[in-house]
Amino acid sequence: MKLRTITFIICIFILIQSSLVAQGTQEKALSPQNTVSVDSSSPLSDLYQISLEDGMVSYTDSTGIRRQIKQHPQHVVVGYNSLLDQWYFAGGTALTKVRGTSNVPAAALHLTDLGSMLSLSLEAILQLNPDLVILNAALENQVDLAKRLRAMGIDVILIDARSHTYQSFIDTVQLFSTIIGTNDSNHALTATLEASVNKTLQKAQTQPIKPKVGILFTSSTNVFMETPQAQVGEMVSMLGGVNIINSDVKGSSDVRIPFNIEYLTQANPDCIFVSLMGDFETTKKAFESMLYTNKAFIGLDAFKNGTIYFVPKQYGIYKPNAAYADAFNYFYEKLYESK
Amino acid sequence: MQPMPMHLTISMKNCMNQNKRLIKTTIIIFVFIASILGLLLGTIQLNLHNLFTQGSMDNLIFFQVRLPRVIVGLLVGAALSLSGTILQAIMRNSLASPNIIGVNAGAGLFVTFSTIFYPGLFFLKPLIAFIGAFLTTLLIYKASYVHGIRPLRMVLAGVAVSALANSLISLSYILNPDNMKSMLSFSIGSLSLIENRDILLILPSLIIGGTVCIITAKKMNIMMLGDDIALNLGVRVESFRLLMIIISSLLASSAVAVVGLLGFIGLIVPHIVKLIIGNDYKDIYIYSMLFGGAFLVFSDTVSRVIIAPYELPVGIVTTMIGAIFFIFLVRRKV
Amino acid sequence: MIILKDTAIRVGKKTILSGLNCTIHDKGLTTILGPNGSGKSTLIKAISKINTISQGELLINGKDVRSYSVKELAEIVAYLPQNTKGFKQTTVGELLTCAKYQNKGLFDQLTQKDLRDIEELLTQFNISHLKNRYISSLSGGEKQRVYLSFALCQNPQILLLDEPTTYLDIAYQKELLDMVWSLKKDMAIVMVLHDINQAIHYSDHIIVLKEGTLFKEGLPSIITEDLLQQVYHIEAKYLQDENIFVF
Repeated sequence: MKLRTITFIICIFILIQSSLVAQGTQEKALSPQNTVSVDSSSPLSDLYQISLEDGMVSYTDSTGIRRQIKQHPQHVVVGYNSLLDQWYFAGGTALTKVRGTSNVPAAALHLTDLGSMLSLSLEAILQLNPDLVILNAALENQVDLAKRLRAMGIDVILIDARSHTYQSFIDTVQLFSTIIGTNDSNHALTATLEASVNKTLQKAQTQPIKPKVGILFTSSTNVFMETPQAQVGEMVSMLGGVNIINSDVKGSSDVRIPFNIEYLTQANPDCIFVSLMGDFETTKKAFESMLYTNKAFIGLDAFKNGTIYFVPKQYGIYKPNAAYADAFNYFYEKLYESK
Repeated sequence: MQPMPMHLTISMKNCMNQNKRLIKTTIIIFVFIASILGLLLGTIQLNLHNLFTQGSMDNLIFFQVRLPRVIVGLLVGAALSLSGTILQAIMRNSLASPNIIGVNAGAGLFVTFSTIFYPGLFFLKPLIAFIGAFLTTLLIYKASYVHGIRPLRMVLAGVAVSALANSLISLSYILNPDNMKSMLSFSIGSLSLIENRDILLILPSLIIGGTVCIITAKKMNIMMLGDDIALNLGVRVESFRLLMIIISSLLASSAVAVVGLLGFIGLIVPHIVKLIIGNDYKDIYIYSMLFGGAFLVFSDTVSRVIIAPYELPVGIVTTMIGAIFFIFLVRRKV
Repeated sequence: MIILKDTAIRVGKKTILSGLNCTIHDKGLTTILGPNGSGKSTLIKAISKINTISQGELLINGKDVRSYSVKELAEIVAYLPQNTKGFKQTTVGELLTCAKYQNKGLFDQLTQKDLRDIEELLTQFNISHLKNRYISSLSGGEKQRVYLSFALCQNPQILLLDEPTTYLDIAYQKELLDMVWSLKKDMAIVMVLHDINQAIHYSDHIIVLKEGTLFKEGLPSIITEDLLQQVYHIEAKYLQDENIFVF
């Protein structure tokens, strides 16, 4: 057989292979960010456009696709602990949690571990015979898992809470409670929380001077600056704080951008919030040893005035969820009441 | 030197043949055992009575989760091993693996870029991985072609291009930290969400790759004697080398498209098989495919079972088991 | 018959040899002599299409070597390199089998005749008992017999030997050259040697290369003390009675 013929046949096969692969899935693509952009100072909108009819809850998910979920599910599996927290807050119960203790509601601590949120076992989920599975759209393996489960006819909700965490919390709890069917009784719980938060927001509105705020987020290897879309950034913006990252900055539509000492120095914020991942004390020490010897950093007003605040993990790293009222209070105090 | 006594040479010959037959049979048995273990073991215990009951959970898990996983595992393991076998022969370098022709780096790079710039296309990830891997091989080939290919040149070009691609990937992580979690899952390589449809992604490549390899096995035997001798014996060395590099890339790219980046198999399986099977490339090809498939399925089963319900990434298991086995073999035979 | 007409040979981008004009006949033993770097191996490899002809012509049986396909040429030319590293991991039997595959298509298998040929050669060279031995485990003498039988397995019309005596001691060198000499009636043999006396003693035809060109070619008698001085820059004395040069 001539070489040319073989090469030709291989090219044909590559084309066939490629088109087979490109068949892919029938579903539309998922984008990594919310396609709906919301001005964080406006009143909370109905993100999911929830409607209820004949025991079926319809909602629009973060990719814009309209989905139907049966009400009153009995066997619920949740693949992410802060979503589990929100599910329980909305009045639901679940069969399992995933590895980790943060954000696990007290009522769910006794549940068995399904595995790690980064590699949930499909078999283990199927064995539980679930009628609803709740997963996190930020994790790609959970997105793939959602596809498989939906193809098997199992209801799946994929929540994307990467930005606008508070708004997402309120709307997700509303969605959850509609599905659970505890709408009326749970409504009071959410209403109390929203009322408390709104009171703090109104207090903030009366403040004449709005401080300039820089928000830092540190992991073990990197430091980032949070935008108004991030967890702490959202709360600060809602309370009237002006984030030093405005829309002119490259990457400001993301949740966070790489740390830039020059930009921070130039912006010279009135106060700085720092969220620390990992062990609080160790990371705090590392942060201080890294930055408190930096001439530019110690020249900042915030350093000189002692307005650098290390945010408690339950407000900055983990989702505040039920503790949102306390979270808003904490930031209000730091912004306006500690002079 | 005295010629060896006739009866001794005959018995030596028989001994070698018997040994080989034993090894070949062992490998085939290993394939069966690995497959059966892969089907029966997992995160949960299957109730065998319900296996064929339509709609039962056991039926669903066996046919929708485990069976495709084992089949694809066999096929992908075979493809990666075959790819590595070809490369180690063609490059005359026993450290060659699909990595050095840029398959992993190219796939990773293209997938990273598409995740960042065209996040809407992520459902085409297998296609993008495949194209990236394949194009990178062609690029490396072109870059190292100066009046013909010298294997060492291509290995070095591959190392350089892979390093470049990996640094670009790291750069992308830094500029887009939120995408990091999703990129991580691709770069670890796993069989955890394999479904029946994925068989179609790997089967055509393996069929065509395997067929070409076995038909050209004699040519490969001749190539092992040296480029000059091969040319003198009538082999078009450059064309043959290009053909085999393309086949190798096709096999590895398809594997990457299905399971993500899975490193160690293309490196160690060919080594192990060559040490125990001998020099005839027809045997080496066939038993690399068999052993590679069995090995991947076996490692995948271990990764699911060892700390259930957590799944270890299968790449970690293949590296650990493969490395230990390899050290043992090298001490005995080299 | 090999005819060179104003041939220039290049390796990669460099032209190593140029302006070559000579004829090598169908049967007989031709030796190429010359100092290191003069292009002896290059010339041999060009006959086997391993190196490229950049100018002029190199005709084999009337046809330019460039218009032969690799397969066609394989049936005519057999080549043994100086560096036999690539053979080490092969067994004797496997090596001869490879030789027989030179003119087979992708799907052709060895015929009964092929197998008989192999057996005959093994017997002829007294290496049947070595059939399953790895070449790396053989002695020098055994190796050279294996290599020659490998070359003959290809039924060549032209046999190219690149410094075949290099790694052999005196006894084996003589043995090898005797064997080669006995083959010259059946084919054209072109050989590269370093030893002047061996070249004179065994060859029918000598080609002397110097610095990339053909210095002189003809019968062994062209080698004189003068030529050796001009080509190798050494003093030699010719002993007529023994027909050898001493240095």
